[in-house]
Amino acid sequence: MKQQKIIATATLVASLISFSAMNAMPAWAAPRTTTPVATAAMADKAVARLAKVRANADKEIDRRVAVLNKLVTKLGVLKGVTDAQKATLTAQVQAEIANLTALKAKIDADTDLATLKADKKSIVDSYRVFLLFVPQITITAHADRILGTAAILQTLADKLSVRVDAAKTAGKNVTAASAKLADMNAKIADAISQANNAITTVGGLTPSGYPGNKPTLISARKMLATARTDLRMARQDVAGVRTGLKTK
Amino acid sequence: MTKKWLLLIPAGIILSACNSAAPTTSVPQSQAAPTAVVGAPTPSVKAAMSYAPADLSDQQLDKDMAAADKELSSLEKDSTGVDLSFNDTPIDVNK
Repeated sequence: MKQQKIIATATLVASLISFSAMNAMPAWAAPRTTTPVATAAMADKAVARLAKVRANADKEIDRRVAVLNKLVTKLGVLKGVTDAQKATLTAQVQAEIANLTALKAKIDADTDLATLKADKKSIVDSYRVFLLFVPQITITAHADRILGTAAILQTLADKLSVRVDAAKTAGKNVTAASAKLADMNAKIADAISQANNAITTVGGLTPSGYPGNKPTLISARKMLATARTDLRMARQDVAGVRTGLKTK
Repeated sequence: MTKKWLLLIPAGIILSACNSAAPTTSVPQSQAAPTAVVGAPTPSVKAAMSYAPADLSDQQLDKDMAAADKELSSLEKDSTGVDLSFNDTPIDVNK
């Protein structure tokens, strides 16, 4: 009797464990029954996913093309950059716009998610609009502005030079003023040199060279920072020259 | 015959020289040079103006310095754009 009770209890426990294990079985292990309705729903879901990824990719391309068009406009108004440098950069940007437009057409025609994802990834990997073109053109445009500001300060330095010479002829002590003027001219010359170097440095960079060419962009940015410091110091020298001219 | 030619050749040369020296056409009144506008600078004055010495007065230098300050200030603002241009904008391929 006691043995019968033990067997009954053991059977019950075994049944319970087995039932519990079946419930905990993962979905993939469970027998599948795919109905035509479920298949159609899955297909609809895949199509919707493709459309969503495609729309997002198109949006990213449009954003880049808009930025590139702005860069072309920016290049058009540069004054200190040579026509050849301007033409090279403009051609690069326009080629990029054409390539991205072609990629957009391909993305719009993609029918499987894997190809679409690869094409979307190439928007960043192959074209480097934000990582290369934007800093490259921004550096060139900023260098161009530096050259413009340097020209204004150079005109000022030339005028001050005439004043210093006149004061010297009049018998005034122009030692301090001359020293400041020499420093001003040197700073302006260095600013011009740094700006031109920055333009030349970033001029030949291409998307295929990224990220290897990133240090080149960073070094060009440092050149511009040096040029700005030069111009600020040259401006300080103006005050020094004028003070020097007032001393007897 | 030979004497006749000897007379005709110098005569022809003299006639040709006279024709080239004299004006063949007269300039009509309508094509004559326009009269100068009163007060407008003549070409020679214009040339002199373009080579006029720079204004070296203190007032002009103050103006030049103010222009330089404005450009330098604008340059500083523009440098922020250079720094911002280095910002990365990654794409989520799964989105």
